[in-house]
Amino acid sequence: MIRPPSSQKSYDLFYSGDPSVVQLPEGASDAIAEAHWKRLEVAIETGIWDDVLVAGSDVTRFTVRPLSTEHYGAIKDLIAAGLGRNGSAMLALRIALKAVSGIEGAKLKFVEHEQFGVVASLSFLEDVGLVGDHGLAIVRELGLRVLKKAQDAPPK
Amino acid sequence: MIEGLRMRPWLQDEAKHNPDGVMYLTDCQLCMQHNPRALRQEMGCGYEPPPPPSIKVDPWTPPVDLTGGNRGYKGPPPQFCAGYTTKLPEVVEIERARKHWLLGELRSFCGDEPPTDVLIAGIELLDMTTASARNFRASAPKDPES
Repeated sequence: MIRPPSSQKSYDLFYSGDPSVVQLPEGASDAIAEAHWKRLEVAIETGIWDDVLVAGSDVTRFTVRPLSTEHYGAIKDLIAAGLGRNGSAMLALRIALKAVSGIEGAKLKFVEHEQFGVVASLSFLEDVGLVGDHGLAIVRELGLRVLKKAQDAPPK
Repeated sequence: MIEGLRMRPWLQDEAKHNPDGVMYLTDCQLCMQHNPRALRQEMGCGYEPPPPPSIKVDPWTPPVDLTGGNRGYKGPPPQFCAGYTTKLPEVVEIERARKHWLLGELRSFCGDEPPTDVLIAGIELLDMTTASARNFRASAPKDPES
């Protein structure tokens, strides 16, 4: 079962470039591209993925927890101090990630981070061959989604 | 999510007192069956891309106090249709959490983890908006036929 977006509990994310997700055809018009990205956005917001998944396929699910305001605040401080977009996305994903399912051979490990305590290691991406730009694209997309959710939360 | 929390009590109130007026907001499937895409884009439908810039998005807005008084909706104008934003899973979750919170049972709703700051902030926002919608209704002139 897909865990829908939550402010309290863990929820699932997918990567838009996953082969199980319907891909934008090459040479698609702007209107088709806009509709495609909107469908993905709706799937993420509603937790209803049916419209964007290839029928019968098994999408990789990244189970994450919501960032606490303390963690989000700390990441914002690091960004203000010069941490880049990729670095902040990676850090957010490492803090939030709890489980990965649907990638054969992927074993998620957790390590101690000097500032954020126990966080996920992203070494499983290398273990399953998701390296270089491909691995970075996954981390960036998912991490930025985690950050955006924290950013869009009601003010304290 | 914030917009959904701001709109939900107002839409629920309107659905109770004027169900025909908001029937498309309370039933997205019905709205999609009855209304063309262009019209839904104008209504700020969250399922559709925004309309061309020449078209003004005009979503449903809760009642404001036309007398200049202090009653009615006072938040920012909505950007999306309340039919979409009020049904988002996190908005529904926060409403459920608020029901537990009102009974002093938020911990049991949250299970093993303590409530997150986001959940509590969401409950507070929803509670404030619920009170505004309720006060507006209580102060509205009564329908002589009811």
